[in-house]
Amino acid sequence: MLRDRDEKAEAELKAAAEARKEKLRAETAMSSVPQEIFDSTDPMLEARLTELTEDALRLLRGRGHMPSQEAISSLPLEPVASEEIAGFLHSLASRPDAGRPPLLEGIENEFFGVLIDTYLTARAAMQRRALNLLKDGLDLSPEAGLDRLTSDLVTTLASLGKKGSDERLENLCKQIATAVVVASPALGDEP
Amino acid sequence: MRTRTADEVRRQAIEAFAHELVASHLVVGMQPAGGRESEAALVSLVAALHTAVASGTAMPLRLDLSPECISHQGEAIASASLQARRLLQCAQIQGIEAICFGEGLTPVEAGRLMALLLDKDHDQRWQPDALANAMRHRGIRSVQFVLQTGAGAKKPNLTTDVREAMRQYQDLADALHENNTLARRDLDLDMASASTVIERAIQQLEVEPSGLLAVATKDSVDRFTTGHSVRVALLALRVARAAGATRNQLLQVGTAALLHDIGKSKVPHEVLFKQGSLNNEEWAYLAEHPRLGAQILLEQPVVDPTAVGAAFSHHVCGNGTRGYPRSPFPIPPGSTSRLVRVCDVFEALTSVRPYKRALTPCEAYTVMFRAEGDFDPRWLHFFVRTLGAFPQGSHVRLDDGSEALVMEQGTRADRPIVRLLSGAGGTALLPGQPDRVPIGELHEGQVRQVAAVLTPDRTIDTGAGPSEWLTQTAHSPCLRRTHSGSA
Repeated sequence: MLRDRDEKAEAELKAAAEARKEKLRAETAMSSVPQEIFDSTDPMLEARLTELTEDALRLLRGRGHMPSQEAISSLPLEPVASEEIAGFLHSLASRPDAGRPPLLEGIENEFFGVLIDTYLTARAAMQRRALNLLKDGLDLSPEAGLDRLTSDLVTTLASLGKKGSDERLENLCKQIATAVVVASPALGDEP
Repeated sequence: MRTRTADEVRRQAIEAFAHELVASHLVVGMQPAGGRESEAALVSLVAALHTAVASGTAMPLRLDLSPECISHQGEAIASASLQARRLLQCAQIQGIEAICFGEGLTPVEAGRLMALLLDKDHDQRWQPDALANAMRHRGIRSVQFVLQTGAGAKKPNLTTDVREAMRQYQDLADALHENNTLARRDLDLDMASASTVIERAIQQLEVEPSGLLAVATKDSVDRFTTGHSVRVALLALRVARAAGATRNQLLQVGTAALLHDIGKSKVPHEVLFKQGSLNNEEWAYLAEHPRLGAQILLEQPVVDPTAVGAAFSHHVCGNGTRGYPRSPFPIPPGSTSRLVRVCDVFEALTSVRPYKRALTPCEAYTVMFRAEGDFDPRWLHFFVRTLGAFPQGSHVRLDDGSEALVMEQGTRADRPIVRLLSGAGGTALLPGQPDRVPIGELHEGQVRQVAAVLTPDRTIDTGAGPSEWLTQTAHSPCLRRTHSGSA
């Protein structure tokens, strides 16, 4: 009876250790820590996970002790020498203050870029959604094809020549780029 | 190195169990019944209970569930409570004051317990007889519920400001968790709830920022990386506010930062929980989470271009030519994405993970500046200058041995204004003792300095004098470690 209980407990604990290992593996894979610092594909990671889970297993079997401060201290820590910190702070202090960075700058261009990326890489339904958002964003009629778009661009360019506006020119270029990418059969299937 | 006392070991084991209880409740509520991740969470819960038994914790282990937090013998377990909103709500609806866990608990039984707590058909207070029947019917023998009585449960030991900060943090975590669940099920996100909680966080950061930022560092339940995203949002709000953002701009930046990792909810479990190392193809799938996140946000009835951009570009470096996802053409990240990227990496470096230790802010800045080209230099510089050597919410020890919380930046980056948590030498604060202290300035006849930074797992000496940062004088280490082997 006691043996059965021990075996059952051992099986549960092994399962617990394995579950913990999986959890750690998932967390490492999803981390935002730069890969140069902590590489989740590093083969040593497996050794680290095994070590951690074995510690847990020993503890759970009642033969180990709670993780000591030493054990916690043995977890990986990116080495940063105090001299390097001092050097960094010194160099930071010697740089001119660049002031406040602009907020919400480049959002529109980034958004159009993401829409075109989505059009080129996503599944069909998502492609249609991206195309519709592109058309909405560029104020084009839903049925506008490349000919119609080109005609609109020519008209706009002609008016540009009279007024001369950098912002309008940039917007126009964006429309041309979008139209070329969206209409190019080589880059994506027609949705 | 100091050996922990038996009481500390027991307290840590109980906290770990509370953590697994919250995580199991979240996972089972999100995953299909019997799913691999649910099973793993339940096994971890039982393992944590065994650890508590091994630490000498008296059984059954009783955890009290008040509306705001989980507690044990009147002591609030803040770290596990920060993502416990759902569990605490379930307990309130069903009239449960406490749960007592016996050492015979098995994963199967724990699964039945979660099913009982998550039972949508039972949205009312339990009557004792009905509860006894339900427990018997479901085969739950190792767990007992303590039902609420008219007398009311004993309140856990929380000050009003900590309680308020916890509530705010729980709101943020819960809104994000809800949206992750909706995304995983291919349903429309609740963008309104995300905006509402960000709006409240903006207000809280204006009134008393350090409380919320300090509470954020204590979140130990980071299943689905919810805590990470909440902390990134708080950092982004803090920095954007310093950059002069209007309230509307703060709302945009905060929402974008909160949802920047929403794509992770779509990464298949077979990739996430694969046995063994990921192959190149699987790694490539994982690296698609920014694109998946952007697509989730593009599918919403109302599209927020700032949030779409941050979800897509937060791993993109420079002008769109490096990092991931790889696009057929370079997409230059917008300003918000570049800020979120800085906050994202800083948060990852300064938080404890089961597989790595936490860096101090100065260490993290130094590491980030090693790869300065991976970030927008304007945001990186501004971020460092805004947060300073001791960011708001940091836990520090002063040169008289008292411990304190950084409330706000002072006249220099190394001279914050702190709130004392203990008196000199770690003694209790005396009644009427001033608890706000400007560092490096004469206050109540004393000039105090920050002597050490306390991270969750390290104490790092700051050196004898103030750092040279922003004073443009001689070289002097800002931080000098007391622990060998960490440099």
